Amino acid sequence: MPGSRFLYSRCATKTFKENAKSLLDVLSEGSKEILRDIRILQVLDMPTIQQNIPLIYYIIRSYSVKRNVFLLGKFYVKFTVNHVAQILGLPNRGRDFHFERIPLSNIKLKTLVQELADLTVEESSPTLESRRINALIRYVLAVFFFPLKGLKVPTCLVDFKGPEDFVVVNWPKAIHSFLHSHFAAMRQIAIGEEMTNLGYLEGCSVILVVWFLEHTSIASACVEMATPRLHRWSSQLTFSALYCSRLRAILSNPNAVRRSFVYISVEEQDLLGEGEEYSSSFEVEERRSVKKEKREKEEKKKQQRLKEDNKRLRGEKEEKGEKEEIKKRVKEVKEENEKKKKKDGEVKTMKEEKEVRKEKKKRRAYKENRELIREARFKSYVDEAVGQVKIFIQDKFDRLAAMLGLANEKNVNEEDVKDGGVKDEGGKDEGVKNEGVKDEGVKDEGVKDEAVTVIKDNSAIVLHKIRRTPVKGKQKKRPDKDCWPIYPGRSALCPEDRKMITIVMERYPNPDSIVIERGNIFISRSSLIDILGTGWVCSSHLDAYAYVLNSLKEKDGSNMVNFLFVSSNHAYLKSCGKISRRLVEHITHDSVGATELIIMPCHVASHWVLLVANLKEKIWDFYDSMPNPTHKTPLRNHMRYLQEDTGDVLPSDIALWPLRVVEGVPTQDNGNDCGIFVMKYMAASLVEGPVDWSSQKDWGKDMPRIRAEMVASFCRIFQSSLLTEHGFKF
Amino acid sequence: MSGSGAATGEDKKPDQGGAHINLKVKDQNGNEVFFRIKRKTQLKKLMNAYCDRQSVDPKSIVFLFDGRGIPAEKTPDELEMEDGDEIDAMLHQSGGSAI
Repeated sequence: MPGSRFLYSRCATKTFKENAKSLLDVLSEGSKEILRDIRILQVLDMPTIQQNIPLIYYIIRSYSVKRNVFLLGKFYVKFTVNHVAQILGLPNRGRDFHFERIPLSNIKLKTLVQELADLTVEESSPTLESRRINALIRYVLAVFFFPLKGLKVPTCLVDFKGPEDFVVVNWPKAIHSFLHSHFAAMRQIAIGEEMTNLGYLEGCSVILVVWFLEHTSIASACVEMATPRLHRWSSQLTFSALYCSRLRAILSNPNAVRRSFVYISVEEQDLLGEGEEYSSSFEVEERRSVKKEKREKEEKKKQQRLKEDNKRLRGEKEEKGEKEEIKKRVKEVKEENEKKKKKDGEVKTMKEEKEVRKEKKKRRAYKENRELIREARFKSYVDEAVGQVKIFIQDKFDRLAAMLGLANEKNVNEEDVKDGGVKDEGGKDEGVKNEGVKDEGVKDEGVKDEAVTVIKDNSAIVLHKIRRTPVKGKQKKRPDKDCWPIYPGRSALCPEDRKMITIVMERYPNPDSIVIERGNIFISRSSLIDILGTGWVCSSHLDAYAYVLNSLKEKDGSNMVNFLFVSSNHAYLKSCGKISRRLVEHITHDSVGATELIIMPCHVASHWVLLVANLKEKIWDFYDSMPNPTHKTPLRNHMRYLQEDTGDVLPSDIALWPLRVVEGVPTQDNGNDCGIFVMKYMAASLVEGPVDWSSQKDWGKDMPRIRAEMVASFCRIFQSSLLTEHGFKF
Repeated sequence: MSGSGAATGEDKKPDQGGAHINLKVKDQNGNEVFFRIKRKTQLKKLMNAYCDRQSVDPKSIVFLFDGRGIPAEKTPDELEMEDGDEIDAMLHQSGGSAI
């Protein structure tokens, strides 16, 4: 939020909760049950989510009035009634509620709060309980669902006679339409050039914040499966104005924006609108593609216009000279005629007319000539082209014949010419291993399998049938648009390492071929080249580097401590409810007994951080190359996952050990290097004794060399047999 | 020991009945898509078909079988998949923390 522009939100969860708390404490169990049934108690029980004004400001600015959607990164994301229903835990059904600002009642907001306080007496009678319930309903409506600028509450919000009245209304729809109407107005003010204050944001802005968090990966949920979704987000989650100013860049990564709400439980399915299927909240297409299409259309139109103009111009240029002469002469003739008419009455000069006719004849003759020349040119051109095509076809035919001949020699089916061609290219890499695939190619008979699927809803069972379409020509090779072979760190490498990388890359020329394959680790050539350039690091790179460190330790690890590594995939799979135990199978009583550290890289909102458990000191060390308190939020979950999947091997309180932020570590100055920093932290944390971080400040400057050296180390460890063949000694 | 897990079982091609196999791809939201491919077809075809259908960038998705990443060039036979096996399509965990 810019310095002088203030935005206030009426939706303050802390005061909202505090006011209701004392009354909730004295409420009888029966009344609580009623409130739970009409799903108001869940709203009152929510965590005190921070207002996050800078974030709200950012979200409102990204609202597109024209399309009625929010622009997050490259995507237009819809804000739907179902979202509100899921966030508040109220069902998207019931009668419509028409919120009207006027008429206002005589009841002020203060009166509603006072009413709550008045009812907080330690008595209990049926009438008192029903008054308490009604007061709470009115309070939630006026203070949380529809907070307004004015101090007086509209009549429509206080007219409710009881829970029966409340239940029949479709609240999510009402709140959704109220918020939408207000966004448009706020957005107009927010993008205005005048540095005016933005004033009060009406409506429940917390919904907007939760909606945004659910649609992006900038923060991880605290309690992942909680319903309503208000309960998923931590009360500690705050975003500074500085962070929000960078949000645009952060969201430009397509992974940072989610297609829809994730982890929808059965309970939540019940909240969704009747007859409405829960679908993606993206609005049809990416924003860029729309723009591109528009641009392309415009360009086409422009080109057409240009062509037409050119045609006209050409025609005009050629005839221009003659035309002008004729025009001049006609003009002259007319002028002279007029003069003569004036002088001689109605006598015509025949001479001038004859001259004009002659000119016209000349012009016709010239035109005919020109057409003849054009025809002649066209004929010669066609002859030439046909000749070329003939040669081309002959050439193709010869090649085909040659290939067929070869295939016959090898007893290969004739129809497999296309697949055979492709296999020859890829097959060279794989050598003997891929023979099975080649066989398959032969049987494939140039036909591609394509599954046709229809997805109905969340738990959809899907129809499938196979459509067989002929393969169109040869498979295209993906061009290497990466930095190979001139990568930034090339010059900084020692000649031996440079040669090593070249040998490995030449051995695997196909971008998709797997260069590193060990256990769970698969790294393709293109992914390895990403590291050489400025690409992002993925979990398999980190796993591979842990393997490298382990090998180094086994070879000559006199100054390295024993460690166990937990792949980031573990927490990821576990959080999605998938099988994750096999990734921590190596953590056993024996291995833990012989080790000092557990290294655990964590993926937090498109960012890599490192957790290191010090088993002796019973403390977690936390390394972050871009210090931000929000990165710490999901870490406890990761620790808990580890503890859960290892049973009694690790101390039962490991998830509760204190978290020590390692200070003074080098930090990144761009948006690409966090993964590499985590690898470097991993290496540094394994060195025995304290680390002198002050001497290692220049990682950012040295990044091209560091990246290249990482790749060299991968090649050395994972491709040692290939390199030994080329004369390297390890 | 670092946790790189168990080593792969290489080059085993058990002869299991028919040439085709039904596989189920499940995304993070629980949506399921069924595919039927040849046992000796590279899984790259399935992955590309899935990404096309879901209109997602193939680079942003990682396919897991039994908790392990699937190399695109492997075939169901090489990974010892059985009829009706489930493949998880998860968002790729790549990190760069854009600023």
